[in-house]
Amino acid sequence: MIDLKHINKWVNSGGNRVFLLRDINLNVNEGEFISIMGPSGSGKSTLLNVIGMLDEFGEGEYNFLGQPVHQLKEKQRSQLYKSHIGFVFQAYHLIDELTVYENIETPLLYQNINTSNRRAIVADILDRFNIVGKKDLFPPQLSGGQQQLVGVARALVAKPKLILADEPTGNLNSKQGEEIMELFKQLNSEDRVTIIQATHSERNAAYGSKIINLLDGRIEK
Amino acid sequence: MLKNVILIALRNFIKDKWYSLLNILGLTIGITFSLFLIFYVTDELNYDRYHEKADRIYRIASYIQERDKNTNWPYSQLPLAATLKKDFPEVEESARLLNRERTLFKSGENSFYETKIYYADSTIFNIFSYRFIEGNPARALNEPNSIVISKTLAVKYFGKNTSAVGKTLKTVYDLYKVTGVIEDVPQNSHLRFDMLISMSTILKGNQNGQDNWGSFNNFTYVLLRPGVNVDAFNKKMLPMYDKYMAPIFAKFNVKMHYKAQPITSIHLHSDLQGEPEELGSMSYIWIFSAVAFFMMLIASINYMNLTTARSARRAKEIGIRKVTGSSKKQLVLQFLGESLLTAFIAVLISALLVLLLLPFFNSISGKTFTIHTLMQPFNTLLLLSIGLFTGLVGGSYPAFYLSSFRPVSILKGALSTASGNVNLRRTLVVLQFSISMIMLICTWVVYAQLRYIQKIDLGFNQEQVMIVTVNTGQDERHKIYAMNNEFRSMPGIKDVGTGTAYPGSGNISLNLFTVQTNTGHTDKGIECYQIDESFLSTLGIKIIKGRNFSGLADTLHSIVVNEAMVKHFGWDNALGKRVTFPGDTSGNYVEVVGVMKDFNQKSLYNPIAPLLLFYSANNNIIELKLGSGDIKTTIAKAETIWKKYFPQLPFEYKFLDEDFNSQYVADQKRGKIFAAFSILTILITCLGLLGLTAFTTQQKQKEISIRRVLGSSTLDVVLLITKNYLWLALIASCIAFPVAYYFMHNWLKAFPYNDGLSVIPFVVSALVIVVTAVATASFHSAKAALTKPAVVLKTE
Repeated sequence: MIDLKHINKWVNSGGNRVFLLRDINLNVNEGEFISIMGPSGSGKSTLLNVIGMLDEFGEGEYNFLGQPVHQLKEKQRSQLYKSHIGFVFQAYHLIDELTVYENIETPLLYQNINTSNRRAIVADILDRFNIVGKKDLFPPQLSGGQQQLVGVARALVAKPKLILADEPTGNLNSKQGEEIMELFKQLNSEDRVTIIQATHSERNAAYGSKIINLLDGRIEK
Repeated sequence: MLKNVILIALRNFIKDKWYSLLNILGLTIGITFSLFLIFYVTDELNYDRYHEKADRIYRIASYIQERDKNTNWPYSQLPLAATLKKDFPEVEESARLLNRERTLFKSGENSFYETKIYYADSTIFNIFSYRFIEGNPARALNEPNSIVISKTLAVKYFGKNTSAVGKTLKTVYDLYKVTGVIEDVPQNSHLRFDMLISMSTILKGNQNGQDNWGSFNNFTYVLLRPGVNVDAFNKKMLPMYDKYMAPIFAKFNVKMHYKAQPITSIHLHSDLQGEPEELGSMSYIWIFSAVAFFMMLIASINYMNLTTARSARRAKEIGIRKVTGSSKKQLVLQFLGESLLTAFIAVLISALLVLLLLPFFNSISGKTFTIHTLMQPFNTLLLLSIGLFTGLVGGSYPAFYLSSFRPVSILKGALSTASGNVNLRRTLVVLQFSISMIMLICTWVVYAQLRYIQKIDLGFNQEQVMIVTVNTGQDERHKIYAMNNEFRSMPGIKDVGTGTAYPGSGNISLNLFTVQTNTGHTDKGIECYQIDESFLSTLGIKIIKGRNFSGLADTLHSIVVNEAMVKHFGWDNALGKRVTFPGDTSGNYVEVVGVMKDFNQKSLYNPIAPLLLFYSANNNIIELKLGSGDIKTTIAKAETIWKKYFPQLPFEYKFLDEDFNSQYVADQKRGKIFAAFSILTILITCLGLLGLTAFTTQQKQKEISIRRVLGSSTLDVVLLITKNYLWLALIASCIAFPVAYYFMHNWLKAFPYNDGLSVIPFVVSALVIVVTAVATASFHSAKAALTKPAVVLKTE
């Protein structure tokens, strides 16, 4: 599904190249649950952003579902991630001015799905995540765990093949974090959604089927 | 999708109430007053266009060339209209209008003085489209003593709901039959009247005017056939001089030609003397259009600035939307939609405000707009386009700017630096400052000049002089003498003089004279009127050489001239110089017996011209110099005396100073409009600044707090923020000064009497802008500086 070959990414700082990612080779098959680990600044988020096509890279090849991402134009790329990738963030990143229902609905709006279909899909997911009662609340009225639940629901609503989660439990207490991890595991095993998460915590990383360690932008073998 | 966008727009709107109100308030003020200016300008541009055949109607103007002077008049001669129709196939119809003096009309108990009266040919209604409420335009002015009146007059004389046609109106001497009632002549006409009397009333049995090509008294209008080339027509009229006028004018070396003037261009473009109504001015059209545009621009800039400055708050939303799949285009549309929504809310409020403020605007602009006149498809379209303009201009930059954020950087927390393009915002603020400054300087200079010309020594004493006019035939003139003697004996009246005109009055004649010079003779048109021996002393005009008139013996013998005339002819010794009427071979002459000090006969737009005064006793315009004492009782007493002599005439008076200054009414009106708008411009700019500093200080809150922790004082912080605005104001002055100088320098050129440009308006205007800017900026920065640093740094 994902095939990264010799990916390098750097920034220029005072005439020097500072490498953020260095010769990354990574192959992810559908249905995998991968945890990326590493200390702060090791390049976890950068790697996720590259995979999510939110960020560019300097050199290398990236094939996603057989499409050469490195050759695609901005528009095509966004079309690609829009229909196949869902994102979950450490800080949830919900739109504060929209209700839970509307937040979850947002990705569908950008995919030209008609109103009644949208209603059905969102209702489904609210039901599944047990947050039907909260659908008319605004994000600041929810606890962190509940907000992240909404975040995951939103990531899932467009039925992506891949979920990218950047420290999804970083802002949560351990119990809330565990719930989210359980949810991921369930999604992975029952819905066959591919998941890549970046995390600090060994415990969370253990939920994955494969762990990749990053240090200074390099994958540690 | 749309619902989602509108929802978020509304929720954001409510969440940032103050910000939204600021935005809408600024836009509303901008739009409301731009609308007023646009109404003003379109009204000025649409003068006389309401006639169905407006584009084919022309007024024939006379261009008269004397040896040393050109006189261009809207007037022509009585025979012209019929001759044009007869001789030129291009002319489909022609008609004359001849002004009638102020007349007292009576119907039963109702009697009023009317001033807007014209004699008119019956063909006038074939040319102009005046709407008849009663009567038949084809026949209305056929018979002598027929009269067509406006609806207002019909109500005034005959009451509402009664038919006026068939009723009669009386003057002291005549009886007129009402044959038609028309809708009032619209305000935007180059010529307005309340009454039209059939031309045959004065020309019956008195045909001598019909062949007189020598006197220019009436307006001649022609309706040209479709497709006629006016330049060719003008050329074709040139030979008329040889045919009709050369026999009279050639011996005086006077030449003349006609020119057909499109009536739609008269109001703004006519450069003729003696127009029947006050003209507009193309330069004001440009100025007002520019002001309207700039107001709207400033308001849009505010919106743009506030929205981009505030973009940090929306950045997260943008990032999320992008990550969840929104395209750039969708985001652009979303933000444009929001700004259009704001703009249209402002447009809606503005429309209501316009209706509310209409009476106020009418009173300062002198227009007579009503809700009815404004409810036109054009104005609806205008509102829509203003909404679109401000919405798009104000929303475009934020929309494109905000939607081009890279989601990664936003979501990674680079929010606080996403403060918009600082340089662009600064440029826009400089632009606003410059515009405000220019308007302030111009207002100041205009006002200073208007004050200056009112204070200037006019050469006569205009205070406490009351003017009353006796409208009566020659046979009653002797009564004036007796009445004036009674006036003189009144304790409240110091002096009484009479004349056929007075300073500032329009009715002086320009006559051709043969004037003796140091070496020979020369012909020249000179302005002249008649006065009695007390006229000059009543007005405090001094004789500097020779003597004043002494009485009846001076009639047809003596004249008094002004210094300008002495200078014009280069007389070494003015006294005894002779003046004759051209063509008069009888050997009669008048002789200069006195030279008076120059005074301003006309407004200060005109330099003082040569003036020649004849002697005549008992003229119909009486000047009363009032003494100290209660003016009201003096007037009341004067009225009782008047009633004794002229019981049939109402006693009406005016004051010389007010009358003279009424010549500047047009400029004063425009000055007021301009002042109102420059204040509004500054207000809008301040609103923008208020919002802008609120957000920039918010962004700098962390910096401010750290500085505070490190020991800086509140004042230091305020200075830190306001310093920027000082710089911007300085740059703005560099732009505003030359522009304002250029415009005001040109404007002042129109006044032969001007104060020149002083530095003060420039310096003070710049200071005003600096002070308001700094004050607005300090407001927020002080607030920021006073916030406890711990609170800020904890949340960062």
